[in-house]
Formats: sequence, structure tokens, C-alpha cells
Amino acid sequence: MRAKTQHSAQTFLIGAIAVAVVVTGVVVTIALMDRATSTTRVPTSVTVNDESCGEGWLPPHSGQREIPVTNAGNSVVDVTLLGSNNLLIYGEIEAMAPGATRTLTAVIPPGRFRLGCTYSENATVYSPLVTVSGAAVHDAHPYQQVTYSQIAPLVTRYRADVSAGLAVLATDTDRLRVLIDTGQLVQAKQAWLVAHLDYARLGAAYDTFGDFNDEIDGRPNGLPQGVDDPGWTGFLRLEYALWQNQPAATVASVADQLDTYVHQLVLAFAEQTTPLNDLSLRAHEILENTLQFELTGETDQGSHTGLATAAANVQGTEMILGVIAPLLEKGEPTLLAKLKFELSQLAQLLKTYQLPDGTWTPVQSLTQTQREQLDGAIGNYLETVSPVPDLLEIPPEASSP
Amino acid sequence: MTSNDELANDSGPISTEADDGLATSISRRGFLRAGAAAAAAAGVTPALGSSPVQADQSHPFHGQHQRIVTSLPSHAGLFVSFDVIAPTRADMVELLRTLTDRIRILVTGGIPPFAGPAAPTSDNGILGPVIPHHQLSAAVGVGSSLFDSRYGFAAAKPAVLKLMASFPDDNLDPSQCQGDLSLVLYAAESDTVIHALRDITKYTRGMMQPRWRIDGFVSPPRPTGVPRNLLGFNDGIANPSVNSATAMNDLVWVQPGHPEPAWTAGGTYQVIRIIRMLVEFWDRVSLSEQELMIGRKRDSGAPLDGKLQSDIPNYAADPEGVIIPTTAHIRLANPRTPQTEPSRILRRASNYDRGIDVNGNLDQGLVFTCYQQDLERQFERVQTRLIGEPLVDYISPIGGGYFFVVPGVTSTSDYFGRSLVESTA
Repeated sequence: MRAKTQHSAQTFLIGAIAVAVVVTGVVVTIALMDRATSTTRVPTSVTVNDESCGEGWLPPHSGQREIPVTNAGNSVVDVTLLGSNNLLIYGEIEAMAPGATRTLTAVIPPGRFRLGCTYSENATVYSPLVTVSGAAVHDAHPYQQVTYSQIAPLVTRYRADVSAGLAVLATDTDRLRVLIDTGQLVQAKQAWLVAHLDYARLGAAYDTFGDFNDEIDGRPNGLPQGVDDPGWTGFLRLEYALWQNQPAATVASVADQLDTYVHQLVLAFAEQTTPLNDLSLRAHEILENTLQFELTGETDQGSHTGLATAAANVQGTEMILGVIAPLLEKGEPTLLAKLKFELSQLAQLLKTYQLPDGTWTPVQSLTQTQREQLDGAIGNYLETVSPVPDLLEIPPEASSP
Repeated sequence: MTSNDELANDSGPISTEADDGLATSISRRGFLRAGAAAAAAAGVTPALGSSPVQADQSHPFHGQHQRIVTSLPSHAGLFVSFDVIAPTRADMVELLRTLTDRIRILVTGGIPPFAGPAAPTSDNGILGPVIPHHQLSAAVGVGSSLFDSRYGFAAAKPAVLKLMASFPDDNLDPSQCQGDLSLVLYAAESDTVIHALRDITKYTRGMMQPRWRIDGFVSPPRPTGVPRNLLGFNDGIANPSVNSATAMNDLVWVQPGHPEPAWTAGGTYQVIRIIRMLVEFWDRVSLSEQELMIGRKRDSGAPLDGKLQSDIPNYAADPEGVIIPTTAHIRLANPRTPQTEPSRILRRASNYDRGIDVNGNLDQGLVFTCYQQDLERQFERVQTRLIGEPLVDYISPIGGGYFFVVPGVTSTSDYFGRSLVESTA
């Protein structure tokens, strides 16, 4: 899981301070570290009280700058370097503890800027506008924070897509259960793949479905008795039973259990809330898991369908990307186009490993060149998508209407 | 087997002076200082063929040749073979530019560029917030497979570049052999080469993928002189002098003219061989037998007919091999005759140690690398002489490849392989 702080503006109370006279303030110390020339100007510090944020700070020249910021107040504060429209963020420090000094790094073009200080009680205080002069820069990377009202409808749409997918999944696990209960194991193996890909397409990375993911698609790793552990359930457990020719009663019991969990998930999902930041996390986490578990063969319990799972994971990622695309279209059109292109390339590449009879090339049978092409294509997408979770992160204070 | 020890480059008669292989840690620093002084004095890049070696030392990265070739290996070495997966020639050129940019940044050092407030950092942070200056050296080579039909390079293949040959005593594992590109990284500390590898793979993920790798280390002098390999013998006692322009131009740098394509001038052929040493077996062999196989004393590194590591064995005085057997490794590798002089190579060895075999034996050995003007006239000739030497029972070449180290990057607008790309445009 991405470790970005989820506690940016939590109130941070220290016992003694609770009864002391509270003087909230931020000291901004500006040391100019010029990457190009390595010259350093004498640092200038500015003390502000709770009514202002770095008032009087001396702006640096344009370029990549490292600005030491000290929180002299008694509250946790987020400090941002903002463009004059108060929207574009050039640099930020999240959740500075009282007394802390941290570095605000930014690539600053010539123009007008201000500092913004957001305190735990959500009030934001701004410095006056200052003017940065100097040479033009081409590698500033400002971004604009996504708002609740932008992302909430997308989460609703995502949940509708997932709900529809879960309904299909439940139909297919019902069918799988019937085939197994009636001893049609050849057809059951095909139905197993259909249902498993239904699930893989939902992109259940990490905790999308809470504990259900372990119950529905868990691996035997970490269980005390491994593949013989009674706590191992779900698609992979059923794959193991089917492809290792386990007794019919065992297969039937595992299939019944899987179908039961799927129906429980259908009911539970309607009651679950989806954190707003989940969408952008899924944009990279699904395929991180694919690289880790499918392209290594780690999940393979005998069906050798890891590349089918990978292809379904790509479809799930495309679904996610389609949902969040409106958030990237305006600010990051190039990134969005690149992501779409790379995903489609990856989907095409995976498709070449499905044979005319519908079966898939086992990961274990790939040549070195084929492996390298797949690993490279998926790795390349993961590098490209890596800024997306931060770009689209909703700060906790904005996580409700 | 070229693999172990001093052998292959046991210094020939033409290069008894300024033998970098004899450098102690103190003289290594002296060597570096001397190089820097030469660079400062040089000022301009002389014409190939008459150049003082290590011409432009004023910049840590730019120069006529890839500098790592003529530098002593540092303690930590990383040897990685990549396959290029770039779909088009344009992407291949972009890969060469990206490789150049990353290596320039990694060698030069400095504050990594800020990727923005909403992006993972551009640098992996292993070396702290500032990449130290000039602590890394790197070499980029190209394998013969890069000259297939993919990128339009076929007509420009270096004259004798080919897939690494399998010699009669080899046990090559295909998964640890060959490759489109080679990357050799050296630094004083392991974190520095690992930092560089992480960086380079991150920025080239969709363009090339690692095929095999091995980590090496160079031991400190024990107690003095040339580092020892894991057979316990000094390894690399003699080499052609990197300070001799004549030696380098005769033996290492490819010169302009037939049969080599023009773009190769200033480059050099690189051989990497992963040579497993059967160390448990070796340690059960008597010292005298070990010394007869190698041709040197283990304690001093002196040839069996000499006193000092730097002594030159006198084979002419021992034609029957009574003192140094005619099958001794150093004698086969470098017979020190006028006829064998052109086959000498510039040898760069690191040790490796990577876990255990299924039978409990330690997986240790040598990452043998050498540089030469002509693979066939030099490495393959030497290796052919070594076929069947007594030492082969104790060593087992298992991987590696042949590569061509492209000419150096001379300016910020230059990039690895530019002359290759432009010659095939």
C-alpha cells in the first residue's frame, strides 16, 4: 500500500500545550540553494502568527529551490507554495508537527506566488503575494488538487461498474457450482476460468473488498498448513482442487464455499463505502499485483492461466482509468494519453498469448524474450502511472462534502 | 582459462613499466592523480592513434573513450546484461540517449531534479539527498544480437563481434549468457552501484530488461600488491600499461580502418565471463600442486622462478617446464614470446560470492572481464591456448558474453552509440 500520509491535518495536542497560551505560528526560513551555481544566500527567516503564513518571506530566484520551513506554532500545519491563482501547487509539506523544521522543495518559475498554511482546524492562512524573478524554467511540476465535488460522482460511477461486475461474477460462480455438483469437471474448469476472470477484471487489489478478497482469491502463502490449510478458500483453492484432481466431495465443498462468499460480497459491497482515494490507488496497484503474482507464476495452482488473469487485470485497470480520466484530462492530458496508449499496448501484447482454442500460454512456457517484453510493458506502465495517486489525492479535510 | 588470476595478462616484455596491476592502494591514488594531471595538461582531445590515454580527465564522464576500461576496478562491481525491447529504431535511439543522461547524472552527482509535489521522487534516495560527485564509473557495451534486423544496425556490426563462443571446458547456462547491451558499474561501495542500477532500470523500464547480472568485489591487497582471487592467488599481476598510448592503441582501442566500420574507432571489445571456482575441491589440493597449476607462489605472487610479484618469468631458460610447467596457467595464458605479444589483453577481474549450490558447495568464483582490440586475435587466442590446462578441473565457466564498448561520450550533446546511429541513418 502506498504510504502517503492520511493524517495530514490531524490535531496534534501535547499535554502541556493544551493549557498553555496558544501561539500558533510558522517560521519560514528561506535558504537559497541554487542547483545551477551552488551559491547560497544568507537564510532569511520570517516569523508569522496564527493570522498569517510566512508574511514577509523573501522569494528566491526561479529554479529548483529548497526552502526550510519551521512550524513555530502549536498546531499541525500543511504548508503549500501556491501560484497566484491559489490553485496550482508547486511544493508542499504535509502534516508538520509543532516545532518541526522541514524542507519545502519546488521548481519555481518566474511569477507571483504565495504560501498557504492549512491548520488542523482546516483554516487556511495565506502569505502576501511575492514576485519570483529569474530565468524561465521548463521543469516545474505544479498540480491542482482534486476536490470532493469532482471525485465523488466518479466514485459513484466506479461503484456502479463494480456492482454490475459482481452480478456477472455471482451468475458465473452459480453456474460453476452447478457444473461441479453434477460432476461435469471438464466444463467446470472452463467455467472456473470465466468466473475467475470476472473477478480479476474487478481489480480487487489490496483491500478493495475488505476481507472478502482473501476469502475469494487468497493464496495459500502464510497459512500454517499451506495448501492443506482448512482456512484456504476461494478461486485459487478451487483451482488447486480441480487441477490436482482432488476428491469430488472436496471440489464440491470448495466450490460451494466460493459461491457463498461471492453472494455475501454482492450484499456486502452495497453497504461498503469506497474511500475517495481508492480509485487512483487502484490505477497502479492492480498491475503491481499482476507483475508480482501473475508474471512470476506465484498464483498458479495448476491451470496455467496467469496471463489470462493478467489480461483481465489490464481490463480492470482500463476501467479505472476510464473513470478517473476526467480528472486528468485538463491538467495532465499528455500523461493521460500516455497511460491509455501503454495500457492498450499491454492489452494487445497479452492477447497474443491466447491460443486459437481459447487457452492461454502458460507463464512458464514464455521464452526469455517474451518474458522481457511483458515485464517491460507492464513495468513501463507502472512507472508512467506512479504520479497518479498523488496527483489525485484528496486531503482528509476535503474528503467529505 | 582466463579466469583466474593473473594469467591472461601476465605482463609481456613490452609493458614492464607502469604496470597498473601492481598498484597498491597508495599507488592507485597516485595513478588517479597522475591521470588528472595529464588531463589538465592535455586540454584538447588529440587525434586517435596518438592520444595520451585518458585524455580529457577534466570532466568525470565525457571523453574519447569510456574511462572505466583503463581504470582499476573499484571494490564494488556490478555486471548486467540487458535485452533491448524498444519497439522501433527511434525508441532504441531514445534508449541510448536516456542511458547516457542517467549515467552522466549518476557519475557527475548533485541534487536530483525535483519531480514535483505530486510524484514519487526522481531519485531512489539510497545515497541520501545529494548524489555524491564522481564516485561511480560505468561502461556501456553492445552485443552482436543488437545488430540483427530490429534497429537497422546490421550493416554496422563491429567486424569480429559475435555471440560468446563455448569453449571445450565451458558449462555455459544460456540464461546467464549473451545479451543486447552490457552495463558495468564500479564504485568504492556497494550502495553506489546499486543506486545506479536502480536508477538506470527505472528510467529504461519499457526499453530494455535485465537478462542476467552478477555482483563482484575486488579484495584489498593481502598483504600487499595485487588483490587475490578466491583461489587465494594474486589476480591480475601484469597488464599492458594503461599509461602507454602505444600499448593501448596496439592492444585495446579499435583503430580506424578496415575491417572495422568507422564508427567503432575508440571503442573496444569486452569479454565478460562468469567463472565458477570449485573452491572446496581446490582447498583439498596441496599447495605445491596449486602453485604448479598456476605457475606462481601463492604467498608472494612471484613466478616460480622468481622472488617478487613483479618478476618476469624466464621461460626461455626453462624450455622443458621443470620449474614452471609448460601447462601452468600463466605460461599458457601469456607465453611471453614475440609471436604471442599481439594476443595480450587488458584484464579486469572481480570476485563473486553468491550463496550455495544444491549440494551445499559455495557458489564463488570470478567475474572475469577483459578488453581488447580484436576478440579473435586476443581473448579467443588466449582461451584456446588454455584448453585442457590442469586448472580446468577446478573452475567452470558458466556465463557471460561478448560486447563492444562503444566510444566515449564527448559532450553534453553526445550520447552512447551516436556514431553507430549516425552511420546507419
